[in-house]
Amino acid sequence: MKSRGEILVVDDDPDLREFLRLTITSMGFEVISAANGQEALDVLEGLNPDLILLDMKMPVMNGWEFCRAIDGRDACPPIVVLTAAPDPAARAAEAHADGWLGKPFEYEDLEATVRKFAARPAR
Amino acid sequence: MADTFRAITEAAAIALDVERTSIWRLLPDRNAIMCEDDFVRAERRHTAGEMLAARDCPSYFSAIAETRVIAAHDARTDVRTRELISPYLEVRGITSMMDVPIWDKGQLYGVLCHEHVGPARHWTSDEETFAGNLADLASLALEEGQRREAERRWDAVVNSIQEAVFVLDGNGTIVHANPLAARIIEHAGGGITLAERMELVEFRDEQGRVIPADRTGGRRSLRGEIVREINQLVFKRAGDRRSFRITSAPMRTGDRIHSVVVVMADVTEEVAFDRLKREVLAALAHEFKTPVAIVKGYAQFISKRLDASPAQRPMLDAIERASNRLQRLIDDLIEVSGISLGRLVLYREPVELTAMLRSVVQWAALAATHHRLVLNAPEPVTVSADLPRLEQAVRRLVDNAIRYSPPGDVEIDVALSDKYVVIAVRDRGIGIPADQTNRIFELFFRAHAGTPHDVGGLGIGLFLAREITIRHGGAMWFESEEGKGSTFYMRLPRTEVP
Repeated sequence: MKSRGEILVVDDDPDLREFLRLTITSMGFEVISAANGQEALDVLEGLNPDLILLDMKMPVMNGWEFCRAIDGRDACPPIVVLTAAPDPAARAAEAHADGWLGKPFEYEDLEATVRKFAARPAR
Repeated sequence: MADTFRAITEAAAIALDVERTSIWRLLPDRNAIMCEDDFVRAERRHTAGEMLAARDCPSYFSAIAETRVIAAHDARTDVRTRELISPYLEVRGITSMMDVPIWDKGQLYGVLCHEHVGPARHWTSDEETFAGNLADLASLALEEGQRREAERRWDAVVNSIQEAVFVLDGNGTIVHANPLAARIIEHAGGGITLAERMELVEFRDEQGRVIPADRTGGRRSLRGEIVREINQLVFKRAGDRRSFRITSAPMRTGDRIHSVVVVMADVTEEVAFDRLKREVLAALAHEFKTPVAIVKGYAQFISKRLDASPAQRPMLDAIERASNRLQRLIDDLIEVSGISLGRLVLYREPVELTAMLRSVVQWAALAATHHRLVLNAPEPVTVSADLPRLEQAVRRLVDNAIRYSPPGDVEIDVALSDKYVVIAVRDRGIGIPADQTNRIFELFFRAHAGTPHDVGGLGIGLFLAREITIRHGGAMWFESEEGKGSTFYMRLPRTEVP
């Protein structure tokens, strides 16, 4: 029985992952984290999160490759890219993502984004 | 020169049937003549180096400066030559002399001497004329020698410099190429005429865009332009490309351009290194963002979500402000490397300038508590611009005005003409030192670095502001007086906005 939304955080920086886990948990969500696209694909084998927060530049499998790998799947959760690129909106569009947050982001923007995409009815 | 002189003395000795002929050079101080070549016919021997001082024979010296031919039938009694008896004539047994001055470009160079041994000889007028002609020949030889010397020196310079030098004629055909230039031609596979060249080589600008045949540096110089730019040369046969700094200039006779000199320096390595530098800069800036996100994120999280104590709150605010400053520096670096890589893309929309300037004033007023910002905008005016970029450019100017002036007014004026709108940002500050005014828009240049007025920063504000203005089709310039203040002007075209 799940009472809270689940969010998959994919970033190769452990401190940023921990920051996102801590803050998003405090917003009332459950956070699962992965260090790259491949780990994220593995997580998706047994889980269907409400939102994926996805870093773009990662080793092993980067954000674009991850997006391509899951593009076209049924019931794919919304993806918000976390990117340090100068034009995050364009990067998000390229990856067919649903939203973006430019690094470094405002805490308020993070909270608003998470609530907007993950505020599905609890299952 | 020595060979030519020898030929003249030998020819003169035989033609005029004299025992000795010699060429003497007047020394620069005009106090002596020195023998350059002395030919003794009987012995077929050349010598040189003897000197005659003017103080020993003043009449002779004035005679050679004033007379076309000194025909001394009896050299021992002639007033012009008798001074030479003891130092010169007696020891050689000379009885008659015929000396002709040699002139070089209007200056007395020296004298050509014909000396007869034996019973005194009466020089005929034909012989005098002939001797005069021989001296003229010596003059010509001197000029020719100097011309060849000048040519030799020119060749030595052109052949040894580390740049390729081409000379094109009026049709753009290469008529001269130094060794380095010849190597470039060879690498291209030939190509002397313009048509051949364009078959073998492609000229591209720094961004890699093809330059049409009639827009190459050489072509533009044929139309009178002095061109200095970096081009990529694509060698179609060899399949490689290199970057050259090309300088080309027209050469004129009167109004007519008869040829063009093109100097090319291979800067492939420099260009590649410059690009690498900027890419490293961009990558570094990118890598800075994640750590800043963590610092800023926690500061905001603790401040907003956890219970920070009243003592901790200003500390967290300071961390947040510092993060924001870092973020701005990073954005600047990315912007600058992007602009320099030609990646600044403008997203234009109708922008109402007065509203934009009001927003800049509000932004500036937050930080500048000691300055009064005065906006003088007559009427709403709309231009086609990338609003965030343009606002960023104006912010830079206002920010500078505040930073480099004591508490007081900073004025922003808007002036309109039919074609342009000019935004002027005026301060009453320290001004720009006169010797630095021409560098003020350079990237990373900081006029006040290391002085008491140094307020920090990277030295990219004005570079960015001007670059953004230029990309909008505008121009930026300034007026400044040290100790009185500066005014920066941004001129934008007033385009039709629907």
